[in-house]
Amino acid sequence: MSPILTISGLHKSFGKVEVLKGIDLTMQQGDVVSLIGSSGSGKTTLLRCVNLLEDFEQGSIELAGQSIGYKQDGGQRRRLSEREIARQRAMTGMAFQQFNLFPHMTALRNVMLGLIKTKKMPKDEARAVAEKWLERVGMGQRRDHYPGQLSGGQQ
Amino acid sequence: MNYDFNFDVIWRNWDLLAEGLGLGLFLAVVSIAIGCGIGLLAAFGMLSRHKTLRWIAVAYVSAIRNTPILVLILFCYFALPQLGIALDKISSFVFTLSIYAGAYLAEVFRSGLVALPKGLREAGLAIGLTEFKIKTNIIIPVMFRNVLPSLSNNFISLFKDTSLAAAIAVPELTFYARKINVESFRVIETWMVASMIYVVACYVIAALLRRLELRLAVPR
Repeated sequence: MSPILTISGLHKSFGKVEVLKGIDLTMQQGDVVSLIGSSGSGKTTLLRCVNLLEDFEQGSIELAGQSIGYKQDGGQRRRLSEREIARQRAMTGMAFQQFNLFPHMTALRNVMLGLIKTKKMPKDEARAVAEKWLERVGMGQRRDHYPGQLSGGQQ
Repeated sequence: MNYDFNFDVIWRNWDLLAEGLGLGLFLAVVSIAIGCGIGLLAAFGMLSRHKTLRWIAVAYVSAIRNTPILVLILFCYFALPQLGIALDKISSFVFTLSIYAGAYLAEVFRSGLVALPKGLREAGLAIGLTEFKIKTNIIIPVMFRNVLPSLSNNFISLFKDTSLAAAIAVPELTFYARKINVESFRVIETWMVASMIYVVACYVIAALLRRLELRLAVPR
């Protein structure tokens, strides 16, 4: 079975500080992988590279057979268009350390936004999906609350 | 002081003052609406990665904020026609006030944008939104709510600035008050009533905007 995620020789620097020095990682579908390391060792940076919140200088990331963020064009490494990158970002889910919820939207609207704007799902369908998942994580009663009205755990 | 107050002439011309007030409010609403659009573009321009865009936005804001509004009004009405851009007096005033509002609102919006947490944009990116959708669905709505108190102050200030339209004979409240004053010589009564109308109108606008602020506030 081909891996769902393949990271090869990933390099990422912030100025003169090289944070990721040739990371290789392979994951099969269904794998649960924990990244463990000291503070500042690049765990978050690696995840942010997978989601293209950080550009990386060398190496490649393949997700479900697709090269993430860059393509080889006549021997040159070129960044994909913003639209294509946005589409690729929607293939992964990301939970931020600081939650980063949209403060002007209810819990329900927070979940619906990506479904409507990225997945182009009709509003009614997106609402049904969002309600189902909020219910599943015990947030059904809180769906009309704003992030500022939720506890840390609920957020 | 031995002065006999006589407000008869004011009551007789009440319709003119009301008409002038209506036009003043219209000028302020239209100008702030256009000014919001200009201000948003200028604010994003000031924070742009592109040096030329940044330079253009900063030059516009600096030039307009450092020019007295009366000079701008006179320039747009009397000098622009010489350059082939002729506008009637109401359009000319709306144009001037919009440009003027845009420069002040650009600073308000810029500070609102700078104050937003970086994570909001990243959360938008993470769910696959494009930069444009992030701006229209997340950044602008959150920023707008945060700057609403400053926006209210600007709106009231712009409404008061509509009194300067009298300088190019736009028939708003100050224009009619001056007309009544000249025709009746009831100087104290005329300007006292005109001032009171401005005070009450500004108070009502402030109260309405406060209600809007409370309604749109992000629940915490």
